[in-house]
Amino acid sequence: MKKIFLIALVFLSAIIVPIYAETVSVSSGMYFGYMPSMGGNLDSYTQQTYFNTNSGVDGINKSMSGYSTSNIDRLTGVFGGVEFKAIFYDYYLLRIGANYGMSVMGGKGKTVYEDGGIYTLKCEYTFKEYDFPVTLGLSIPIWKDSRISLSCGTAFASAKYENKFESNSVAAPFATQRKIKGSFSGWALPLVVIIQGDYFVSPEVALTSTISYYKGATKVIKDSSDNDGNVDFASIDFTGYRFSLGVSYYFYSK
Amino acid sequence: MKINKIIILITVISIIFFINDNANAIGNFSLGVNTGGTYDPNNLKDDINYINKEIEYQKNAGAGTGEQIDVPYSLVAGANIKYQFNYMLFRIGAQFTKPGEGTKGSFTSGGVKNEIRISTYQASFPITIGFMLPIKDKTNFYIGCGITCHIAAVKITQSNPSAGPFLTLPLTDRRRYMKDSYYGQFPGWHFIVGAEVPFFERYSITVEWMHQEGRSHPLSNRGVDGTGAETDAPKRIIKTRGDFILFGINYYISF
Repeated sequence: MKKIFLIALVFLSAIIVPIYAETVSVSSGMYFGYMPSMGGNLDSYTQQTYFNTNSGVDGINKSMSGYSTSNIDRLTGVFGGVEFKAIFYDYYLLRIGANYGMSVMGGKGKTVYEDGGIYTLKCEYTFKEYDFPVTLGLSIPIWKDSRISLSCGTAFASAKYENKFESNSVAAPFATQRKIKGSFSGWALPLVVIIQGDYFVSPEVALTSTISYYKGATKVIKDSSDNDGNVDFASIDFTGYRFSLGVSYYFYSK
Repeated sequence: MKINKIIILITVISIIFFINDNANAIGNFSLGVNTGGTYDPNNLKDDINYINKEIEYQKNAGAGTGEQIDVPYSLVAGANIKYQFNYMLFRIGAQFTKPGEGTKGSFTSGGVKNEIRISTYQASFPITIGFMLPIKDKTNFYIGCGITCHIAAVKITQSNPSAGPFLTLPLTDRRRYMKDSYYGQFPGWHFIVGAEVPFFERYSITVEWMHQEGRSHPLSNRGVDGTGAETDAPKRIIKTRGDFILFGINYYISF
């Protein structure tokens, strides 16, 4: 099915973005932004089996009198990227981007779980990813100095997701070590929707504001950190919104 | 169920008559077809990942061999009727999606293979009211929201659940059923963002992003458990939360 999508994308490109276009404007730009809920709920097999949560970080927060706990939030990430846009016949947009992002907030705290007794559990999650979105769509000039674009497509997205857990339990998964770690690397082809506004401060330079939405995840991946006596399994989720501000330079127009 | 169908039919017919009645006065009336894609229709990702994690765990434990189930991408096909009145947009759509036959996995232990197959489909009928930003003739940017009527079905079958991957559970556990089958009709809501530009004289091209939400009431199973006995448990809620990307062509009708 992934191949069908790629073929369809190339086919659509061939139809609506002819390279012999009589009018074309080309720009490149850069932008920075943030991603709430990076990596989704960060679910994994170990959390599901031992820590009584089928929804990862969403279900892991618990408290009990006599135990010190702190909230573990979903990850918030920052990212930066570059883009290349070509607008054919005034409207038809092809956009190719490259992004790199990493988690900077959330994903750290202390909770409790029950496994015959009540145990404290320190949790830490991190996430890094890069992706190359390719989208096709329409870019419409509005008023005299603005342009609004809507484009859809897919991205090659690759990420590394890590989780770390520490407990005073001596039962599995802490039978051999008090600290266990899961490390997962993988790629997927999430669907991508991008809504972008350009405000031209000069005929060549535009300030951009972008909302992107990704939806997709990898297969279940085996933990590559296998020296802690515990093997974990997880899917890396790229689903989520991204908000960014940037600048574009329209360097070619005919 | 019949009452729901009648209400839907009356609503759709009323809106079509309303549009027809007013189309002569002012505004533009267009018919469109579209196609595109969606990921994970009917939100089966959690179920699929739950099975996949167990397959990988059992493989790692040396209990057998297996193939994961892919969370499906699915092509979408649809049609819509739009009526534009100054800055207002009225849109009635219909779209259908059904992943291909590749949504399957397997687990083999002791020389016995269990093939796990997931089939699902979703038909949606979104009715939208929105705002348009008309730039010039047939050149618009629009955003809207409204209700959606969903028809959805989910079926998960296992050819031989005794082979695993859920080896430690009894055959009467729902994760070892030979068949889980659910069907429902229920309402939801959606929002849509779209852009439209002229193509030929009466035609325009559209790009649309539709996000939809919907949850069925708890549906009875038409299932068969791991021992071969028919069962109507457990109940399941089908969730139609998802996103569609749609590329379309519209034809403008003049009366």
